[in-house]
Amino acid sequence: MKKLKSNIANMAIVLTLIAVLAAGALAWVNDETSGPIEEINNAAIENGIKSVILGDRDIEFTVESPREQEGFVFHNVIDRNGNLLGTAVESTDKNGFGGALKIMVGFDPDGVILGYTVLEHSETPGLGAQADEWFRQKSADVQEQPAALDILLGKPAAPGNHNIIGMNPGDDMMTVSKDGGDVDAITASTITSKAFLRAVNAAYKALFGYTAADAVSGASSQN
Amino acid sequence: MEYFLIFISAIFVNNIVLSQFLGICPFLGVSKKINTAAGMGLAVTFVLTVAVIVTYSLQNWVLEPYDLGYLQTILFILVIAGLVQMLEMILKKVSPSLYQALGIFLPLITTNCCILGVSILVANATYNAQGLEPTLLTGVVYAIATSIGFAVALIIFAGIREQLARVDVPKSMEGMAIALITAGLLALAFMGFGGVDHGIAVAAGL
Amino acid sequence: MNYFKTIINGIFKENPTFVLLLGMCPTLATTTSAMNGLGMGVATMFVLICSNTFISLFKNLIPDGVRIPCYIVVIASFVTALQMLMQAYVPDLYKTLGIFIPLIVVNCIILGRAEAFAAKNNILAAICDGIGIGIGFTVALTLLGFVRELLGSGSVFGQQVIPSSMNMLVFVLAPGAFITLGLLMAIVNSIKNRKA
Repeated sequence: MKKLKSNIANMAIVLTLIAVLAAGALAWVNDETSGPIEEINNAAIENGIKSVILGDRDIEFTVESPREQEGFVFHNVIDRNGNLLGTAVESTDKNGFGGALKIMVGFDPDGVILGYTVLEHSETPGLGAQADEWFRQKSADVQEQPAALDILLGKPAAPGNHNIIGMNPGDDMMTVSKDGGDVDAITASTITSKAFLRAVNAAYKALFGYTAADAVSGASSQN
Repeated sequence: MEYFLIFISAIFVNNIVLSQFLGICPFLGVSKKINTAAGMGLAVTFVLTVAVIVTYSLQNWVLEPYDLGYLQTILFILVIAGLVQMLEMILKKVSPSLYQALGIFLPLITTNCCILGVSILVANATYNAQGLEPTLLTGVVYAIATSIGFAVALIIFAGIREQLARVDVPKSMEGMAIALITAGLLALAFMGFGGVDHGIAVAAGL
Repeated sequence: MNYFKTIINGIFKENPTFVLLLGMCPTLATTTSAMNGLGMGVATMFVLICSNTFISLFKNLIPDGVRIPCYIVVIASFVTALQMLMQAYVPDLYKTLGIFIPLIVVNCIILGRAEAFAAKNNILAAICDGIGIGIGFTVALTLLGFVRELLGSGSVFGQQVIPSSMNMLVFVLAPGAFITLGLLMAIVNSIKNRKA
């Protein structure tokens, strides 16, 4: 079959036809997949809330309807007697290495961090992307040897502290140790680490009104 | 000040080619001589800036209001292809000498992942805007800064390759292999700029 | 036409990464681990087979003057469909590959094969070419990802085999990508030179 001639009419008709066909097919695929996609997004939030507040504990709980305020979303989790188990806060820091870093952190009623999870990020795979694992307890049988890079940078040979679970931003200095704080940053990913900790502090501040880190940052900005 | 930081970040700290891997094809293919590299850099700057303005507007005034987000890829690439066509025609009429100089690069820009990539980054606001709200202005600044970063990487690389053409290279390494290793060393060097934008921000009291 | 030969051709003689030197951006960016490289390769192969098939099917109905825009719309549609399917059914891989999924559109391999092969051959040949080139690309990416993951994170497909203190971080970073690919290419070249 000979090829269609390249006159204006043919070209315009074929291009338009293909474009319309494409748009139609995509609209159909979009309809089919938007259901599963929404389910996945909701499940992520639900699982996130459960893991950051309860961790491994098996307690009956319900989640109150989310409350939004100034860019934060608060999910109160209560047990079956109506007591507050904790609050899961969605917090975003705009200055991650690759853009916004969105986390969910769970505080108990006194402000102690129960757990966290990274919801959205554009950080470097293998580096900043480790944030989801780095800031929580390492299992006892993973022996932590100082990385060669840490030795080169002169960091102490003892394994540093970068487990934030159990810390309380109202009492502990939740900034990177380079800035005088209590938390070791991810090796070679200081920017991601700082963004992460800023998001945690901001979440705490939105709930309780202050953080221990406030006092220092306030002083240093008055140069 | 933040705009200055966007420039520092896009050119040195997070260079689009050496750190974000966008624009590799022309980076490896068009960088054998310095003036072709410069020409390509110039063409990319122009196309990327215009592309970002058009695609950002489309995203915010057409795609999002009408829930057509899934048409982003198709629409953007068609816009870019159209822009490049238009640029070719305009250049032919307005500045035939420049058109001759840029020659074959223009159609190649359509498939330059740098252009589509940065357009998507700006439209979805997944780039580092140094604390500013991602608006059209920051997007355009980012686009210009990125293209300068692209041009800088390309020109430096071309300079090295011009020198490389005069030395003895092991037979298996000839061509793309040694070019890639050189690019790797260049990327390594640029890693030394890590944290510079943050340091400047702190020094400036941000 | 020997269809089997077409497939083998795409894997070895015209391997898109090591011989044709096409599609470098995703090759360097998504190979931080063997799994990511594999995922990207398979995703690209899906689009390649679909677009080759469609373009070969309609090659006589697409006038020469608009063939590039038409190819682009076809390829972009398949990529968008892939995006949505991945977001719905393999969300973790979708998040990891990130922006490089839409960038499959400008992967020179796909447009290149459409122009060089699919537009000039029958459907079955076009499908075989898509399969061959797709496998070639996937093998290259997985190999590169495997080496980078092993040296840079000490793991193989997620299983830690080398203790983390002995990892050479540079291999999962940008410079490592360039250098590893360069060295792999040198190895492939020396094999080719020895045969010649």
